[in-house]
Amino acid sequence: MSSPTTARGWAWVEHILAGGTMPWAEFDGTPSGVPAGFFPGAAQLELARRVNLAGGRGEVVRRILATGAPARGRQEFLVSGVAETRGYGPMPIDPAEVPDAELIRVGVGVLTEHLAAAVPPEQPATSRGRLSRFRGNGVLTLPLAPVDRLLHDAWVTRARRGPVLPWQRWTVRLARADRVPPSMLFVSRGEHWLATGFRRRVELSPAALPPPIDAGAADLVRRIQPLLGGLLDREQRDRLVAQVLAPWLERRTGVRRLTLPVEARAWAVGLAERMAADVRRAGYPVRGDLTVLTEIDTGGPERPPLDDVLAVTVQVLCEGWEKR
Amino acid sequence: MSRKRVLLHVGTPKTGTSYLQDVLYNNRPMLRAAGINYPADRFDGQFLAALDLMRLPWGGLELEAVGAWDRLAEQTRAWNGTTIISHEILANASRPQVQRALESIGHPDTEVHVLLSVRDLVRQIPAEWQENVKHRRTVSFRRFLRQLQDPAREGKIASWFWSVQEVPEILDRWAADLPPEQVHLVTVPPSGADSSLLWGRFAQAFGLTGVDLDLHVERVNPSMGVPETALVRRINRRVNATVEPVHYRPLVRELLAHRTLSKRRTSPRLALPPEVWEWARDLSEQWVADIRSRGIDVVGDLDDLLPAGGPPDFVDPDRPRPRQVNHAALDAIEALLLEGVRLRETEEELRAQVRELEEALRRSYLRPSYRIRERTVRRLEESDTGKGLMGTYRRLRGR
Repeated sequence: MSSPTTARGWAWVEHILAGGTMPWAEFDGTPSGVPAGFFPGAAQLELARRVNLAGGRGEVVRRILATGAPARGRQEFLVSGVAETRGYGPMPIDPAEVPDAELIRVGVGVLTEHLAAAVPPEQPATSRGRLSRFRGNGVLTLPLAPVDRLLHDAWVTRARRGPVLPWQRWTVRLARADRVPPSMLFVSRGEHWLATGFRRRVELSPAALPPPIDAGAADLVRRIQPLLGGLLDREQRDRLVAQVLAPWLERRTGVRRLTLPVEARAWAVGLAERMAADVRRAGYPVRGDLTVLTEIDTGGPERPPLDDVLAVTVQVLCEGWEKR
Repeated sequence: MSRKRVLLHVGTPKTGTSYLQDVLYNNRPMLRAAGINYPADRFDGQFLAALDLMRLPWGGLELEAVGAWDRLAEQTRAWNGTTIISHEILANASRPQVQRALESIGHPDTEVHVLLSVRDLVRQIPAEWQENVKHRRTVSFRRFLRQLQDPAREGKIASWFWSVQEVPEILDRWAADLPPEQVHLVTVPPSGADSSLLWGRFAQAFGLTGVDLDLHVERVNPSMGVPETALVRRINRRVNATVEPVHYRPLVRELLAHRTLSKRRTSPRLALPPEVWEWARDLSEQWVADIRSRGIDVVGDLDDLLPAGGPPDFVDPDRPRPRQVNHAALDAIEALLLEGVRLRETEEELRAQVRELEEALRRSYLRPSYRIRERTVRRLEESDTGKGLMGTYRRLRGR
């Protein structure tokens, strides 16, 4: 604490730790004690302030200030007015100007550490799953929906299970390699189903479509997955996904869906036409019109808006994974 | 009684660190006999620990890094002598990660030394661009330079480069809590210097001069010239969407870049354009002044960080001479063809083995009881009811 500006900085840290919400630019004060350790980064301080604004508890704020940003990105955001300005090195900035993507990165790091520290215990196996294979009416109902919606659901499913590329890159890569997610290989799924027993039937219906999952929530889980891979073994990770992340994600429905990037649209239309032709050839009954597969929506965002992802991140930091 | 201390080598990339780490790994028994521990169960063990410390996903390798830092720290705390920890990506650690690292290895009760090996910026910048290209990036050299020179440092390229190359800032993060005599800077000698000079400096900084070590290593990370790097960048643009990283690594990075194209030594070398060379020199001068003012231990000479003379001849890798790229491409095609031949021969050998196994299997199937069961299954699968029964049977058997 060598200068008045540094003292003001430490006072702001105290203010944030006490639940304060005043932006750095408007803050003035002096610290009550002698600070110890390193001065937190601007991204950590700004995220903590946003958490305070959303009603977060002191414990999570302490964790935010003590956690380094994971993965790749700007390593340090020094606070203007606290860090010395030199002719080199990272330029100190007002914490309010830290980009949303960097606030999300810090938040994702904090959430991942917390998740990894509290893996739910193993649940006793039941015979329910085994028996359920023999229940039902023997009908496999495949979802009938525009192909971009089916791709979106496939991406969300991938994000729930493990690391996956961001939506935009994932879809463009599929298009360039002309690869189809297994869940959208209707005929091969149908044939597999028919081979599993007698009195089996396959049909297509819009009723089989699950509610859409919010893109911001799915993107938060997508960002967490690769970090979990470095913190937990496969079995623990699967348990965490099954008992915490997947149920949470299933409740985040109906808010926002992503549209296909321009580079993938022509491929998607061709894919939809191929899928329709395959279904006709297989002779599966269709409840509705198969042409719906080609009705691609082009009105929404092509990537999850960062302010949506940040809002979800802050909400989970405040409320945890259980509540909605 | 030996003195307990930790030598923590935290960077920077492209300063001979792979060579140092291979020597340390290969000579672990000799080092231990001399009271020096280099804890690693595999050659990249400390790399995994660094990934774990920094929560850094690395193309799936992080899956093998679960708990690696804590294990390394535990081995360090348990050793009653000198422990060496070395990985260049540790330069990227943030202050909270540095604090965790230092506390976990016993700081402040244990004597911890931080070491940083450094090379002049005018060589580091093109070397890092080439490293980016070898990791599938398609960014042009000019754009790469613009991103590095942008004070905002936005984007993954600039943020990573400066986090692992900006010497004063790395010292701020890693050595803020240490007395200057426990902070050591090893400078890489200028181009053309005797190749043993750098090892001599490492040996001095790490206290290895009296230890009899085998200095031969297999792994090398040689650099490519202008047309070769330009070629790999063009290959990246063509194959990034279609060749998965798991195949790119052995075929492009290892076979083409390391084992083929880097052997072409007569092509022009990568360098900075004159105006960027001057900018890098000015920045280096500021760094050197900063480092001098810290009073830390320098092994080598801080003047090694300043480029000698004037800007070298610049050959633009964004506009390479087509003839030179063509020659490099022919070498690449030849290497890929030879690899294709090798794989075809391997495939043929494997096919022959499969044929032998199938024949052995067929002979074992000639037993009468098997033939009766096989006939029953074939008949059942000819009707829908039979198929259903078979499906139910297989499910019950868990197949």
